[in-house]
Amino acid sequence: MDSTHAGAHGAGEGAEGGGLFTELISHLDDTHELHFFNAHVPLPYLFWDQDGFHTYGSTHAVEESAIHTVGAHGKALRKDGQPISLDMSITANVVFLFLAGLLMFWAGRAAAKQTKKSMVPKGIGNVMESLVLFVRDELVLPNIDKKYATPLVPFFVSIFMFILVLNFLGLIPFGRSATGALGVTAALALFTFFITQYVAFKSMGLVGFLKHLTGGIIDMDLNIFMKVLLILIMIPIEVIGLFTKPFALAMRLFANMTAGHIIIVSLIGLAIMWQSVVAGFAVSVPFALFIMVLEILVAFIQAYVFTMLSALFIGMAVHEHHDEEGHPAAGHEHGEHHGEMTPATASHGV
Amino acid sequence: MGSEAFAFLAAGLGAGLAIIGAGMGIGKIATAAIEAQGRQPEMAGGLRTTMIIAAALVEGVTLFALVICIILSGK
Repeated sequence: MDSTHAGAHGAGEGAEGGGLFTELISHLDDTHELHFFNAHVPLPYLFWDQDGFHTYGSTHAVEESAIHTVGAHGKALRKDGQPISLDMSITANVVFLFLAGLLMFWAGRAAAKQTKKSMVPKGIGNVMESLVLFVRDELVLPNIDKKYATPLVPFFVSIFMFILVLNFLGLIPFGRSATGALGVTAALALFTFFITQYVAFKSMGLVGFLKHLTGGIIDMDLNIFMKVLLILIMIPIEVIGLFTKPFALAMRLFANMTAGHIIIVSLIGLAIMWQSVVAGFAVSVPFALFIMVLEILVAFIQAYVFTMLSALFIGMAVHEHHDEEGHPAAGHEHGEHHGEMTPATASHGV
Repeated sequence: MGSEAFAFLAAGLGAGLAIIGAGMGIGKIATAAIEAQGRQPEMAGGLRTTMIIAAALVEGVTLFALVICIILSGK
């Protein structure tokens, strides 16, 4: 946390609009440079606009260029007001996304090498194996039909590990959680969405998919008038539900990560605002420490909940139609599948 | 009162109300989990997991409201 920079801005007077709070939150924004103690490592700008592809080494370089300038949040803008088509600058979030991918790759590679050396798992192989088995046995297999579960286990392991590593990187000093950016969580939720639709089409076909959209009404034994009425009500609900589920996934993860960081920044900002070392050590440090420990728990829980809900949604999409005894009207999110925990998982403990 | 003042007021009230909802919801979940654990101690592990999942879902919904409050307080 770069609270030294908050101190440099002084207490009280802040940005327009929300004042001090808005300025506090602006420390959580994505930046075009990496902070490490007092060093600022500039990150490159890469973007396409109407003149083609441009690269700059740092914010300073953009400010000194002829046609481009820097706007709010360090975004690159054209001086003549034309829009930038595609901004793929390496920002701090991108760096941490790559870092998480690299860490996962190294861990996986080390685990694979260890597995080849001996049948008995030890070291990193042990950790990875317990992780994969946890995701497969607790999250995927109880929720998804066996036929589709086995090819999808790598996807769930990847999502679980990725979100976990990203959340944890936000807790180390000078780190940031990329999952605190709505773009990252929306991308992950989009993956779940596309895989859900793909698996649904593959298992039920187009006709089966449309029947699924009526929520099972079309197969029920009812008066034709009742059927039409119920289908007219169910189809909008189901179609909207199709899109709200990934949206809720994205928002939940984003809001949990960002809210935790906002609380921590606000608590540290208290010490800066009162400009008192005693208040800092008496109030800010203990409370912020407590929230940090809570954040570790939240990091695990959010990774778990994201993966579990993805497995649940994909399982519901694969659920072969003749197995269903009729959907409850809109009860998609909670409830039904939780009761299906096998005794093996009950005694597993947490 | 200007619209900025209303925005701050709304942000504060909204955050408070959202937290009331979350507190009550998670309290009910914990009550049910503890009661069930008391009745059947051997299921304690699975119940704990279910409680945490349900609490995370309730909290997810609360944080939607909180994000809106934060956006409001920046206006």
